[in-house]
Amino acid sequence: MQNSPSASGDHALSADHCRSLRCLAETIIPASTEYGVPSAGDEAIFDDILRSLGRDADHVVAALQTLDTLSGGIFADLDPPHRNAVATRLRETGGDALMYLTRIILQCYYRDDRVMRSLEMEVRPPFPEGFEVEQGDWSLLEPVRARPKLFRDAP
Amino acid sequence: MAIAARAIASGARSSTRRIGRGFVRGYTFEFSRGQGPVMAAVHGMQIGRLPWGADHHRAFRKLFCHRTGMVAICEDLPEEHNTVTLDPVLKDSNGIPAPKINYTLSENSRRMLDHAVARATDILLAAGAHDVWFEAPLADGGWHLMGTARMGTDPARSVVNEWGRSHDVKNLFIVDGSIFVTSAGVNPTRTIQALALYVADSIKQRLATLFD
Repeated sequence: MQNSPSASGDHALSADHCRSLRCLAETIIPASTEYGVPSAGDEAIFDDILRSLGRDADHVVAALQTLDTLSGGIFADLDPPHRNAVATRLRETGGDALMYLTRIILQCYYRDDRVMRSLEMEVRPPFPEGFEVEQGDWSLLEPVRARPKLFRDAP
Repeated sequence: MAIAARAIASGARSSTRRIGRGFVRGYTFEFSRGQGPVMAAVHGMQIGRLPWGADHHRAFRKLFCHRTGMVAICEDLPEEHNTVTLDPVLKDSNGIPAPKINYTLSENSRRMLDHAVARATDILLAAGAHDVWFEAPLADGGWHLMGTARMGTDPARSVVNEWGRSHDVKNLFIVDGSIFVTSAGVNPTRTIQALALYVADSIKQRLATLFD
């Protein structure tokens, strides 16, 4: 098995850990035809996950090492029924490292355009960053200038 | 230190439970809106309401946009076992000791939190919730660091006088949450702003004798 850093991106995971993380992401959030959504192991979502590891990479690696230990080998090489059993044990014993790992998966999954649309969300960040504001239009400040004073004058 | 409890509920039913207070001082409730999809998922997973696997999507849609939260902001008393001191070991790059905070939840605060959770549960169930989850005190919520330089007229029992000047150092004024005499059972920023205006006015009115 290959165990050097993956060539698929600038992150801290080995190729085996990448495969296991992707399998785990699919196990946590599988695709659903009922809701028309991809799994968390979808290519675009998984690329986002790898790009988003950042300062939590060490925690993710620690969780994946625990996953391999519970698997008695490489998690991604297990057959699906065994994966589910190992994933259940990981959730029971994962601790802080697993919390970081699942947070990154959930963060990337629930900001995917397809998933947001399935939740009937507008595909944009929350207010105010998600609205396009015409640049240089200072009249937008007029309602603020017209507002009554909030504070008294200092004596 | 002001502490907080949080209750989050989803869904429909009602209840009427009552317990005695059993504590002094009080707390304020704040209601919060539901979370966006990412935070709803992260929090739902943390509190065990979101499963892994095929049932994840159904469970998430049951939670998302069907939750609300309440936060109780509780008033801690000035208790001598809670201290801020200089850490004997931990220092910054200039050798300046880090603050060391010792805090133990008192019996009064514990009872106040329990009362707040019970009342919040009543309110949420009466409003139609069918699943109530709570955490008290909040591990990751707002812990307001208050007190330690409290205001008062007696130098033996306070650090600053009634207009914010240090009893011991006449040209030192303290204008922040540390001059509170308890943590207050509300978010403190507006009171701190009011104190800042009050102390500034007091300084201005006393300019000729400010350091006497």
